[in-house]
Parts: sequence; C-alpha cells; structure tokens
Amino acid sequence: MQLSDMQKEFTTLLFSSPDAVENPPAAFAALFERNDISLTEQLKVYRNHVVISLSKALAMTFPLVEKLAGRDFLMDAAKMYLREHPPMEACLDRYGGGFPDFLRHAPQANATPYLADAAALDWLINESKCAKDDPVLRAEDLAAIAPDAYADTVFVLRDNVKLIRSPYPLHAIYNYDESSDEELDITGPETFLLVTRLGLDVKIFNLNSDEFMMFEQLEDGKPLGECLEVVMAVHPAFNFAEFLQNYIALETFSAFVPKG
Amino acid sequence: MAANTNNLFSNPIPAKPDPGAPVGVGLRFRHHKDLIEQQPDIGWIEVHPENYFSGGKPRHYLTKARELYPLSLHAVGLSLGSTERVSKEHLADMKELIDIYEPFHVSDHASWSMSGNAHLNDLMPLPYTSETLATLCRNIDETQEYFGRQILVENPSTYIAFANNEMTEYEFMNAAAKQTGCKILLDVNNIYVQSHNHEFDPYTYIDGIDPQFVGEMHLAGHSERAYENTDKTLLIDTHSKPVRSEVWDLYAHAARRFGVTPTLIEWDEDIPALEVLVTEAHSARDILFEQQESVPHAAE
Repeated sequence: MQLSDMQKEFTTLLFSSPDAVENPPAAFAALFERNDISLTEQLKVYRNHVVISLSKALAMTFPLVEKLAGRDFLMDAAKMYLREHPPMEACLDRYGGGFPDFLRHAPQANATPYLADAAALDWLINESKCAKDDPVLRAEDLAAIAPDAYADTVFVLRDNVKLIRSPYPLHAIYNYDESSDEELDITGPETFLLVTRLGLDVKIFNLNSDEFMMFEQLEDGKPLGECLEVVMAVHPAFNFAEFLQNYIALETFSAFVPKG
Repeated sequence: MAANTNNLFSNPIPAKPDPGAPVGVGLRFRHHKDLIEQQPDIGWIEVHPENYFSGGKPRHYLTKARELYPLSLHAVGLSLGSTERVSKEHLADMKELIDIYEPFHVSDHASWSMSGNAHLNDLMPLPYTSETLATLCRNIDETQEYFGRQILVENPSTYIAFANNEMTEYEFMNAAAKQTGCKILLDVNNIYVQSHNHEFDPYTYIDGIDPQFVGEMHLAGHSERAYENTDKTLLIDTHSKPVRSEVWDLYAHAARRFGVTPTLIEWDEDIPALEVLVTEAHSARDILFEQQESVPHAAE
C-alpha cells in the first residue's frame, strides 16, 4: 500500500464510527506489526486522542452552549460534528465555524431552539478574541476628513468587530447565571448585538436596530453616503454623529479610506 | 495608529540562548502571567506557533515573554510526513511569527497529520521506507526554502509499528538530516516511550544518531496504559507528568554523546505550577553540565 493510501485509510478510520477500529480493512491491518496488544487497542490510542482533543477544542470555543445544555450534551454534539466536519487546518482557534448551523439542524437541540444562536454568539466571541491586531481609529484622526468628503468615505470596521441578531434575548441568555434559582427566560424582544475586543478583552454591547443596520452597511464596505441612504430610509431619525462618537470610543473602526 | 511589528519589543533580548543557560521550558497559556511576573532562571522558552496565529491576548503575552527570553517555535501542524504538500497558508502564518519574534529554532515532527483536507490534530506514525523519506525530505526542503532558514525535525512517539520498515528510525532521522540539511530535534522521552512500546534498546538508538545532526533535545513525562489479557503495557507520550528516572538516565547518556545542547522541558496536560517546570529545567541543566565534566574531550 502506498504512503498516500495508508494516510487516507488511517484518516477515514479515525473519523468513522467509533467501532470502525474494531474491524479495520484487511489490507490496512496488514501494514502493522503485531504484538500482545491488539491492533484495535493500538488504533484506539490514536482515535481517542484525535476525538478527545478535537472535542475538547470545540468545547473551549462554545462555553455558552456548555452553560445552557451541559458538558455531556456539548461533548456528544462535538464528537458528532467532528466526524462530519473534521478540521481542515492545524490552527484550532479557527475550527468550529460550522458548529452553530450543525446544532440548528441537530434533532438533539430541537427542545432548545435558542442553542444555535447561543453557539453563533460563542463563535463570534471566539472570532473577535482571535482577530488580528489591527490599528484603532481615534476621534482626532477624523480631522483629516474634509466635511464634503464624508459621503464618499468608507469607514473600515476592525477585524474583531462582529454582529449578531437573534429572535431570543441573547444578551440575557449570555449573562444567565445557571447557579441561580431563576429559570432561563427565552422570551423577549429581538436582540441586536455588537461583539468587539476592547484592549485584550472581548465585550458584548446591545445595539438599537438602526445602529445594527448601520453596522451591517459598514460591514459591506459601502461609503458613508450609501450607508446613510439605506439606514435613513427605514430609520429617518438615525443620528450618525452620535453613532460615530459612540463607536469610535469603543474602538470599532480601524481606518477610513476614500470610495474605491 | 497601526502596531509596527518592527518596533514590537520594548527591550528584546538576543535570539540565541546564553551558552550557560541551555535549558528552556514550554510556555503554555496558564503560565503567561507567571512567567512575565516571576522571570524564572531558565535559558529560553518554547511555544507552539499554531496557538499564536491570531492576535489579541496570546500575542500580547508572547511579545512580553520574548522581551525576557530567547524563543523556539515548535510547530505541530506542518505535517511534514504527508504525501500532500505542506500548506502554504500554514507556512505563511508561521513565517509571519518568525519575522516578528526572531526565534532561534523553528521545528516540527517526523510525522503526518493532514490527509484529504482533514487535520487529525495528532502526530501520526510513518513507515520508515525510501518512499516516506523522499516525501519527508521534499516537505522539509519546501519548508526551509519558504522560511529561508534551517528547521529541526523531531523523532515522534508512536504506538503502532509498521511491518514494512526498510530502516530503523534513527537511520531514517539521520538520512533526513543528511539529505535536507535540517537538524534533528531529539526527544529523549519519545525514544524511551518507543523503546518500551516496540521493544528495542533506547541506548542503541541514541548511539545510532549522528551527533553532528542534533540541534536540540526534549524531555517530558509519559503515562502507562495497561490492557486485559496481557502484561504488556503501552507508554503514552502525554506530557502530563515529571520526567521519569529512566528518561533522566537516557538523557545523561545523550548529554555525554551530544554535548551541551539546548534542551526543553515540555508539559502540556495537567500542567503544574511554573516552579515545577523550572525545577525540572534545573535538573536537566545540572545533568547536561555534569556529563560534560565526565567526558575528557567535551570542551575541545
């Protein structure tokens, strides 16, 4: 068997059902020396390490899911997920982006429909935490923009700025104290959240719907004039000067560039 | 406005460890603050670059730590033994760290972890054949060319042995170093673990390694796993315990053969207080220097 085929067979075996190592294909099994410890037990050393290390990595990325659904649920879901979606690179900070959607369609999560949104928030917190160290645009930098140039200026969001909306009270769910006597209340108005890294720590802020819409336009890379046209068609009272002042203070912009 | 990577350090110390301080410790997240606050008496630090591809806290602390100690980047994700080529994205991520942090060593393993776009997050075993040697050497060559520098390649721990080996592992490691110009990162614990699992003499392995190729040594603790219906056990390279006495003995032998060589204490699971790693590092340093005194020509 060629080296490439051995590596493919080994990979398939480790990401197959847990009992696959009990009966490896004969041609694959013939590759190995035998001793008093069965081939199955030897293969299990690798399988267990791969499954446990990857499911632990996923568990570290989704602490809110763990808080809401428990460690056993999360580890079981992680093991199912990693078999279908193994990581495609060695940097595990980047592994698990598909997990929220996996939960959204997992029958086990039917009773907790808010869990997929909680996972999505976990993922955005992880992305914000791991975002590159980009520059911070300060209020004094704005003096370089001529007043008549604002409409054609693109305000660039920092890499660590993430947005999420949910029909559930996601911020309250995030702050829920599972050790308290109060039950988790998932009724509430639609939530618009900004996830951002201030200094070294990730913070979560509630947004108004007009602010959220504005951030969505900025995220698309549109110049300010086009952003305001879209937002003010729905929210005519939107106050951009106040928005800019508030979110410059929260270090959400990295730069401004002329419309390209 | 932007962080200038060329001026990242307020007071960077030189890249290479002081010859009088050849032993370092693996820096893991739980020791970030302790290391910076305590500044223990160690020669250098090691990190896995894959944990620092992102910005934020990890890089913040790595920058502070690099101001205090020389650094080795010990990768776990290049997958040098894969028949697929080394990921250009992975190389680019590592090159960025190399350019910023100026490590004195860059290393990975003689193993594979990528196949068919799946990363196994483990150091998978290789058969020691001419086909494997050609594959490994091709990937080492590409990596060294991309980085514009020599790398070191570590002998792995394995729990399964191939029936079609054409050479011993030490012959394989020597051949890879000879063909590519890389150095061998000799993990003494891995040799011990494998000698138990695959029933060979670890001293013969050490004596088979060509001293001119050895650039670094590693020490760590391992676990033992028992099985039903057999007295045979498997040693697992868990990096979760102190270095075992048998491994210290083997290290003393290696220290005599290879001279004063940068040595690392690794601890990745059940990580104790930093002081415990530092104590292990001092033990390694003592053995390393003691063994040179017992070798008449070591200073030449």
